[in-house]
Amino acid sequence: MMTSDLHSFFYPRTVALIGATDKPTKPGRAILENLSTFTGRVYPVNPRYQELFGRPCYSSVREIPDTIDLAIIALPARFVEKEMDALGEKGVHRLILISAGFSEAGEEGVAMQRRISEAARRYGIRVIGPNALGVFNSNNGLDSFFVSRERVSRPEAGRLSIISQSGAIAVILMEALARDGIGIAKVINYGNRLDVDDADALDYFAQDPETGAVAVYIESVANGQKFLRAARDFASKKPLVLWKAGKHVTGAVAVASHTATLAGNYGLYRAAIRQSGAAEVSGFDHMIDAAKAVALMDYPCIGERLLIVTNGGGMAVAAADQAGYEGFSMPQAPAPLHEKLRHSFPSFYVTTNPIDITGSGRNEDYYTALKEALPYYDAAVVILLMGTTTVTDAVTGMVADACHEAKKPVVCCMLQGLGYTRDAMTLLLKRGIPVYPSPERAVRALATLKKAMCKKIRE
Amino acid sequence: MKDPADIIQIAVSEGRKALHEHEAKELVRSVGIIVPRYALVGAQDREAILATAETIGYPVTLKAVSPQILHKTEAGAVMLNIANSTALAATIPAMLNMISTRAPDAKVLSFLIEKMMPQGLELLIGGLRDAQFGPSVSFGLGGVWVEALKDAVFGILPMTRTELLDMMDETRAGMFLKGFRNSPPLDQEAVLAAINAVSKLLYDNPAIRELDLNPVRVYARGAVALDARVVLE
Repeated sequence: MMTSDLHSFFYPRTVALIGATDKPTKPGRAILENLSTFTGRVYPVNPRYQELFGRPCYSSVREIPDTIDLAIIALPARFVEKEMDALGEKGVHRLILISAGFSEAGEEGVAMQRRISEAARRYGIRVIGPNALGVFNSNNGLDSFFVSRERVSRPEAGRLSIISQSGAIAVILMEALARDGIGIAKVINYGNRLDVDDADALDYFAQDPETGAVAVYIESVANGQKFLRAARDFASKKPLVLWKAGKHVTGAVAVASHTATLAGNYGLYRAAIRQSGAAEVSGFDHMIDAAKAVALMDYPCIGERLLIVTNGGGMAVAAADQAGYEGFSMPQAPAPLHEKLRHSFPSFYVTTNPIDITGSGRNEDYYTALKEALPYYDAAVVILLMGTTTVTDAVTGMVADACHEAKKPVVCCMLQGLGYTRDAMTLLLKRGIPVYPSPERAVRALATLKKAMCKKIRE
Repeated sequence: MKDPADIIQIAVSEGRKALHEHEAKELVRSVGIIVPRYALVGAQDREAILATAETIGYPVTLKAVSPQILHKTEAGAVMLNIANSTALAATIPAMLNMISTRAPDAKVLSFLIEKMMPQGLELLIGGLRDAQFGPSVSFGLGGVWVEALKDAVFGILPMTRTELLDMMDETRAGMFLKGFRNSPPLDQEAVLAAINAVSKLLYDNPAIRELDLNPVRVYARGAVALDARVVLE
């Protein structure tokens, strides 16, 4: 597929919303409201209205006095078929089909989807959906999601894009990242993937200059070989985080060989993920954590040597345990570093690895520890217990400075309470430092970041 | 040596979905996979069975060949480690007797006599034509460990050498291959060659749906497939 084909789904100049309405319970209402941020021209279509929210409303897409780059259909499934002819006559070549009730809903739905597919091919219309939320583009405000912004806030502009087979997961990821102030470039949910699929989206994002990394949620792929090729190509250019859910679905057909029995559903997906160079995540929390890491952190982790800096011993022990599980090593400070740290710090600080600046540690001690030690390591986990009298929220800037000066990945572990710590977390995120609420999650996110950027380094 | 296509054609013409073990072994031999020395002898010809065992050299393995038997061990159709001609002569009637109890419908056409191989690390090397991902291979601990440890992982073909090594690194089998405590490193190159041979079979013969080499015994030098199973489309 030509990548420019997906481009006009994300950057149309004009959008027709078929099924626009003012009825608050209908998807056509939420989408119309969400399109208010879109920088292009929006044309509502519904024969029952002359006007909707101050915009002229058209009885058919044929009546619109403008060329239409993208149509969004938010009508019940049974009305979709006859709209295809109108789109064909109007010369529309991109369609987002929100409507549900197709191949996911029994035989009649399957037949309808097939007829829509034939019509789309006949008229040269590329389709996202059906049974899909469509696209979100923070760059131009295009938003075909039928969830209101009062309920689900949208993230700011950023470098992470999301590909999700599930609409629910797309929305929840978006909101979870928005809550932490993590920016998003684009989101696509392709539902029943009548046409546009996982591989098409990866191909597009691989060359999209706004997209710096992608998080993918899949239950299945449209075409295994096509997906592997697209994922491999993507991961050779940008970090790719991938969550394959539905791991324990087993084939209903009895098979005679061990090989086929063991493959099940997940065995081959795991192979595809390994061979693509994507970093696999295990579930929801891991997905959010890894998405946050690749969205914020741009420094590759080129080795296994992990440094831990803490002002509380126990948390560092937990982080070190997780580091072992994740394949990190924790070498001790080499002699010159050890000497320097002993010289800089009071004698009761622990100047091995983890470096423990204790409950007396000050903001600038974090900076000193990171500045001196990071050159000897590949990455650092910084544990910040904000309850001590000697650490203030200004520590966030010092940790961020040390990270950006060393150009090595640093993630923080900070328990996220209310008020003060919540604000300190926001300061860290604003400076591009991922923050996690537990030492295990911080280390795991760092390991996933390392994996996601590993193929880029190899090649 | 017969051409793989001819071996498959015979099974297809007889309406079989699976190859006999000796056919599967001939198939995998044709792409360079090493199997123990073996011979197939008609079930009625006791003299020839004993003479063949002498030629192959004791200890030997005796396996009954029957189109009705897919799982030999369960049907009592396998006897390992037969030390001499006296033991072999006694094993034949005992095995037929056992089969008549456990698989009453089975007709034993012939016996497969094989050289017993020394102990070694047992691997599973498999091939699969998947509807989604196409030709794929599997790799992991084999023999009795297949079910117990579920060590096997998969790879989607075609694969580079690096991808094959990455795949093997994910398994316990891969760790054992590299040598472990007092055991020396085993012949990783022979294992890679066997996986590449399986992938060649899948590419050259679209009729093959599934293929198991299990166990493959790996030594400091060489790897030998003790059993082979091939399922056709």
